[in-house]
Amino acid sequence: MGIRLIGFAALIAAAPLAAQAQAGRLELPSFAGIEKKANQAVDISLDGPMLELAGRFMSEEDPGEASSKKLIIGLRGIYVRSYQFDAEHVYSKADVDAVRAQVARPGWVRVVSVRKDEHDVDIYLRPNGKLMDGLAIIASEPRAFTIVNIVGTIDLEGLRRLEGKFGVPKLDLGQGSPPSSTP
Amino acid sequence: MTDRQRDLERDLRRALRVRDPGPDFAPRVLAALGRAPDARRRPRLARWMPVALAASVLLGLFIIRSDEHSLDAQRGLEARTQTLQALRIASENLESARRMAIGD
Repeated sequence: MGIRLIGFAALIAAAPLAAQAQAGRLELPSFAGIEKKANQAVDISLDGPMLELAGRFMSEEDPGEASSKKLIIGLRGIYVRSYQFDAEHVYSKADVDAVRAQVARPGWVRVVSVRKDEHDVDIYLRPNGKLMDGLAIIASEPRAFTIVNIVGTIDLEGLRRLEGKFGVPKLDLGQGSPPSSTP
Repeated sequence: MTDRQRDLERDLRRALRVRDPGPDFAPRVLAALGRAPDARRRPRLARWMPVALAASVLLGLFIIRSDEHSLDAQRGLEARTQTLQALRIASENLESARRMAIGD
């Protein structure tokens, strides 16, 4: 009885840690059927230990790699699904909407949402104090879609530095301006 | 003491009397020792067997260790490539969003 009580207490104590480890992680579908139809497919799933291993092989001398190495230190996972097709509307919008539904849940905030010529890009963050637990990018257009999910303590300054290194100008993801909530 | 007892005693005294082995006794004994096979000496192969066994074990461990390092390096380089690709895709989409937002 005593052992069961201790086990139960340990389970209760560990539950928030487990939840924290999964916070910011989206359940990405396998997209197995879509992958066969794509002319280009990227399916990347890297958990914390793999990112740590990757960091050990990144150069300190290359600016892009050095910045990436610093950025991934606080990450618990990077997950990417990206597909390009020869024809339009090969994939179902419902496939992407299933992921959009996950970031519509409480905890996620949409910070960028742009639509132009059937090209949609939405960027979501999962704030945790001054840091972030997760980032989600969902981009879709008739012949392609991309979903990026970065899990972990995302330092916004680090993210900004990465944007600069990869030639991406600064976005106003800022700590100063409150992001608009997902409708 | 009977005659038979006396004869026996005489024979014993004769048999057990001190005799000089001669000056070449010691060299003969040493020479005989040199020719005799030493029961304690093992064959050459048996003597080297533990060394060969230890060397084989060390070589095996080295090969396993090398394979592990090679596998780790392979996995690490693959993870590095995937991480950089993932970050590049993320940054490209951020750039795309920015361009769309500013109407570029």
